[in-house]
Amino acid sequence: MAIVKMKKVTVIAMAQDKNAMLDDLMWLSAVDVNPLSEKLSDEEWSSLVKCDNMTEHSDDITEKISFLERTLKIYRQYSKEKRSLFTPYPVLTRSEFASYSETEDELFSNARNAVKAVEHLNGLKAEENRLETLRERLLPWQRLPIRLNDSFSEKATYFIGSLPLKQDILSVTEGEFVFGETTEKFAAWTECLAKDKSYGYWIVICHASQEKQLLSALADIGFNKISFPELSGTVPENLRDIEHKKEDISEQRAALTVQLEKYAEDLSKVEKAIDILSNVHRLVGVHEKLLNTETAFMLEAWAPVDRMDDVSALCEKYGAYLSVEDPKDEEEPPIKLKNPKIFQPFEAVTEMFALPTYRGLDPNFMVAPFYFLFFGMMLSDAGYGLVLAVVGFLALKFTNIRGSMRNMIKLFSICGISTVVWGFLFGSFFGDAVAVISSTFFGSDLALKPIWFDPVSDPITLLIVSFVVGFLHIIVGLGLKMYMLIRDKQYFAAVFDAGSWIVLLLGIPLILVNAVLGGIVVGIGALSLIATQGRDKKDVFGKIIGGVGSLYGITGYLSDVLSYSRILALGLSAGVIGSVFNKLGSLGGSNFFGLILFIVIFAVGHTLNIALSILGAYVHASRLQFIEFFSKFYESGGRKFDEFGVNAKYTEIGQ
Amino acid sequence: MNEAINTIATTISEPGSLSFLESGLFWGFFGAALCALLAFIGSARGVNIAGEAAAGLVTEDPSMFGKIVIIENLPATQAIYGLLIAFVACGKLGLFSAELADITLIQGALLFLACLPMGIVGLFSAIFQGRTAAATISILTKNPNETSKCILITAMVETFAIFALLISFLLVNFIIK
Repeated sequence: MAIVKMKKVTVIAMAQDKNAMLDDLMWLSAVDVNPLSEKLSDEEWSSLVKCDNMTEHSDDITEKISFLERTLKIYRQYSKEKRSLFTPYPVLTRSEFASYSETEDELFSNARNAVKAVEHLNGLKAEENRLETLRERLLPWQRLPIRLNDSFSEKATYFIGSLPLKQDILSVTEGEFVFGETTEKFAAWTECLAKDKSYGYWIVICHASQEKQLLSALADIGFNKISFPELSGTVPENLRDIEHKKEDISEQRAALTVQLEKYAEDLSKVEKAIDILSNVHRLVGVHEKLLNTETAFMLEAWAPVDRMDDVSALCEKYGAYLSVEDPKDEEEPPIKLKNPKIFQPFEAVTEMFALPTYRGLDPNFMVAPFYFLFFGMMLSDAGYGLVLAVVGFLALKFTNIRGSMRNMIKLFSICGISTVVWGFLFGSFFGDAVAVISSTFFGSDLALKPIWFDPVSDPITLLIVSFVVGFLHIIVGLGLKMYMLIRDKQYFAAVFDAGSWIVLLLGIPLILVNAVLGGIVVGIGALSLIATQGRDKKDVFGKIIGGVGSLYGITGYLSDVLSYSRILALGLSAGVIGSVFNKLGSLGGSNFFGLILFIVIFAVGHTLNIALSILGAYVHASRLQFIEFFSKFYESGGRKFDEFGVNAKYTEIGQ
Repeated sequence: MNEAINTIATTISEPGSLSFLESGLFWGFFGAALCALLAFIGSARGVNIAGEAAAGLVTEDPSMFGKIVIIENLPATQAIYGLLIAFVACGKLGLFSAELADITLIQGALLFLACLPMGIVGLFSAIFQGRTAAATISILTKNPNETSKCILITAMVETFAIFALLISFLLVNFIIK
């Protein structure tokens, strides 16, 4: 429930211990290292120390990583070991980390071979495709009695080609043509060698001098000359040859695949290597943040107070000099939030907006309960809540999802519980599913009675409830502002900037109960605002105008409260749309097909509605925090604590 | 078949007669249909605008599909709200019970008016939301990790459709108990 206090640590140690010490520091996962290169702009510093420039080394690592990522894709494809959402990550230990460089060469030579094998395989696939097309083109010509591209005869020539079935070849070959100044008849012999659905495959033998004219006349009726310039021998010989080649290729492919499957056994090694190299890359980045002399180096970092013991133990181990300072006023330490486990998923909501400043306030202890409440009221269906909680719980238990996605699932399954509660309060379980099923299929009038009230028939009550909850939310926001001002010892501002508004706002509902008392309370609040809000102005006139003008702020509070009516609207939308699907499903009546129809519409409709309603509830519950709540007190703008530790993308880090 | 529908049917079948305009049911159903119609058109256009931008980004980076599809679909909610109001109005007119409701002309006319906020605001807010969605998708081209912020920016536009839904719902609910 707080922003973790930070200490600034400065470590000076011997250069020979540098690598070992940084390695230990990384596995300690405790500090956020500050870059010190800025200090070099100062003459006094730059004459003594220097910064390492390791760009080349770091580019080298990036290149290795991207090569391994490519290899990983190949290995994933050929590996027998299938990774899914449910397989746990391989464990990467510190000793594997340390011994990595010994295995690197073998890993990379295998990877390079695998890449080559894949290129070879792709070449073979292309060749196979080429052979297959050639085979298809050759198939109609199996009865061709001539060797391809063989010399034929001096006087006569032949050609082959396809002609659409509806065309009559004889109309051309037995026709006449103009040759020089005379008209001659074609002297040609034709035979159809094969037919398919739309084409006939013809051989035409004609006098050599007539070939040109005949071809152009045939082209007019759609004849397409075919040739196989690269082939020789008869067509059946060629076909047999192609079959042999294809067999050969498939053997080669099988061999390559076996080879690749063998390489792919390195899958988890490559995954580990990528994670190791990524961390080495980070380590190099930290190296660049240090200042060095010939014999010593200096490191500056932020460390959370609760990890100070670990840090000083580490320094002791290497006999290093350690100085610990509190952050100075002009310094902004990075932000690390610390909340009870149940509140942690809600940190994501705050983080999405922005982190608090170091001297601000971690709002999660208030964001969490209100988010929980709003989300439940907006989704407000026991069935949907149950789905959310159960699916979320199963996903957390059985899948390997981690990081921000895992956090999101946690958030939704916690909010699912709130949804179940509100669903029963409002009597909604998959919309009005209980009533529809019992009346359609069992002819009874059993229905789920709301524990509190039914918002569809009594929306005004829910509207009022929404406003009340929203009103409380805003008052809490003002209360937090007051707390922060008191904590910063600005008592005057605490009482009059925040307190007056709280008094005024609390007076308004009081009027409904007791007009006189409420009026007095509102009056006190308003008067103190008028008296104090113009205090920055110089002249009396300005003070009065400033004071009275501040009362205009009431419209802001009004619109804030009205904004909470979205709770009603989204709650209704989820429930009513659910009921619409139930109604549509029940239109088939109480028979077998009616039942099938109901099940299908129920499943599809409610899935759709759950997805849309969750998105709506997530977005608008967040919005109520950001716009209506945070605007009252929140000071944002902190930098996230960037822990120098071992990260993993494909593996699980073990000690 | 219901008396009221018969009356409407007979008046419509008489050429030149406009007396169906005096039927409350006619106005009621007209409102429900109009509300659904406008909101659906709006959502279709809104999702279309967002979808064009989304397609551009997915061409460059197909792995963004999952995130993009959420943003693309945000302007679809107006159609849901339109459906909701149309459905509630039809329920009030007795479409799902044995008999159509017996309502007066003024009730029907009021029901028509009650449907308008959702229909008209649904139409425009969905289109505007579509444009906002398209704009936030261009944020994603540069910062692929800012999905939730993009969703929030886009969802701000929806606030007004939610208010329209609320007003239409309250009106429809109060005109016919």
